[in-house]
Amino acid sequence: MEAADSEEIRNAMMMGMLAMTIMAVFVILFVINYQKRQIAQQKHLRDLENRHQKLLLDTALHTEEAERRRIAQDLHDDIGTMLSLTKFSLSQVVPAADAAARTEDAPLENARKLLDETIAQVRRITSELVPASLERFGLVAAVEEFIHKIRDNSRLDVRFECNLNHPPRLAGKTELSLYRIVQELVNNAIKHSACDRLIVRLHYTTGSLQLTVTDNGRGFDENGVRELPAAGHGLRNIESRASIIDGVVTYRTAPGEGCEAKVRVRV
Amino acid sequence: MTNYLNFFKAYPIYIVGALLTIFPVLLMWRKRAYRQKPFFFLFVFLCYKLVNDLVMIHFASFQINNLFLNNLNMLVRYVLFSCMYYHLYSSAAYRRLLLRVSILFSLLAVAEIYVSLGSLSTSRDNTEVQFTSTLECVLMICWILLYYYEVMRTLRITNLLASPPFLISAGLLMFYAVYAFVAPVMKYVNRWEPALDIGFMHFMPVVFEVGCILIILFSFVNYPRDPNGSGR
Repeated sequence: MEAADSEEIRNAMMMGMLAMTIMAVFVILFVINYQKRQIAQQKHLRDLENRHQKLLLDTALHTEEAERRRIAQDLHDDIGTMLSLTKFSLSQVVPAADAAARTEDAPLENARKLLDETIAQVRRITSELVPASLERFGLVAAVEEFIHKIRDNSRLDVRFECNLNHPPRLAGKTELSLYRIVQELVNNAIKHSACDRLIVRLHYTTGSLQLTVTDNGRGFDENGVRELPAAGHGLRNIESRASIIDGVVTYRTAPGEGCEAKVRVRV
Repeated sequence: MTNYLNFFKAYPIYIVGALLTIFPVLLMWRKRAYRQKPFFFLFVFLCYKLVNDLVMIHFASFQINNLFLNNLNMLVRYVLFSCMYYHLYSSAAYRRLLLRVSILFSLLAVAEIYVSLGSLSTSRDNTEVQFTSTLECVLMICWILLYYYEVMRTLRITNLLASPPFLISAGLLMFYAVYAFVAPVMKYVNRWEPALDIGFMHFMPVVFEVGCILIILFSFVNYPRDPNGSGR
């Protein structure tokens, strides 16, 4: 009888301990499982948010480009045509005027010169708004043309290097984004770095493209610049454009040591 | 020496339980894990447990009553684990609650240990402090569940299976869940007329204690050497 009692109590204890162990294991597994699901859900939400942000950014940049295109077209078709017509009308007037009117200081001659300058400016603005060479000949040609213009209009030693003679054409969005990044980086270097030498490099490899803009200017403190609302805008703009094409922007710079900006894009 | 050998032959699980504690102590020392506040209390507990277990084995080998050490172990264990959870919680409200309850519990445990001192001379009634033992288990289960709740709510640990506090809590939860059931049963088993032989079930808390020590050891295997490398 006593042995049976002991046996019964032993079995009851074993069952009880087993039940408690199972409950503890269940709690642990529940926490692990719940946590895993929550983290997966959060990651999913973050991904959705990132995708949405990217879509918004893409739309904003697309709208900006469309607006640039419209302004460029209006300038070319309306203002450009009007200016050409005005120049033509003026040239009809000048031969009829007397000899005094054809001298260098005459108001008519001045007006004609001003008109020529205005037409040239309109052409320049139009070409800057929408680089025709980008669509026709691709990124390398457009960057070359842009560098050429910078070289003509400043005393900077600007160089452009590309590792391929006949680089492949990239998707329109990629080329346009990279071109705008080059514009922003070069303009930033000219405006803020006080450099006298600037090198733009395009390095194509299998499946990727690396754009590097190096200057020998005063450099900057990257974190410090990011905190300034106005100054950080340029960097954010570059990063936004790079993110649209899944590019990564890195800077190697320090005050007084120039700057090297790299953009890596998968193509 | 014969006494120790006899004890080892009769109760090898106690020796294994005591000597196994050396490994997590050495691992925590090597990885400087004790530099983090929560693990500091765990480290102190493990060191205390090692010494206490060896002294208890010595007393038991020479048939000296060691129940006072056993009772004291319960209080020290609770206080040190409470301190560990105090530092693991990020919520100030949980910390306050733990602190207040722990002060009350400690007073109660001291009182029961003091009362139990009087019964140590009698062979039949010199049992463990069963009431506070059970309460300790219930409270510790509550603190562990509260910690798990906080972890789930804040999602601050991305990989739970690589997190020492989570694994340590898992080991402690298993130990206390079993012990919470065993502690009150033991009280009656010890006083049963005539005496009940529950066989190997008597050693089950020690078996789970050994399991808990192994989990603690495992949780620190991948712990980075940098003391600030792993958080709560």
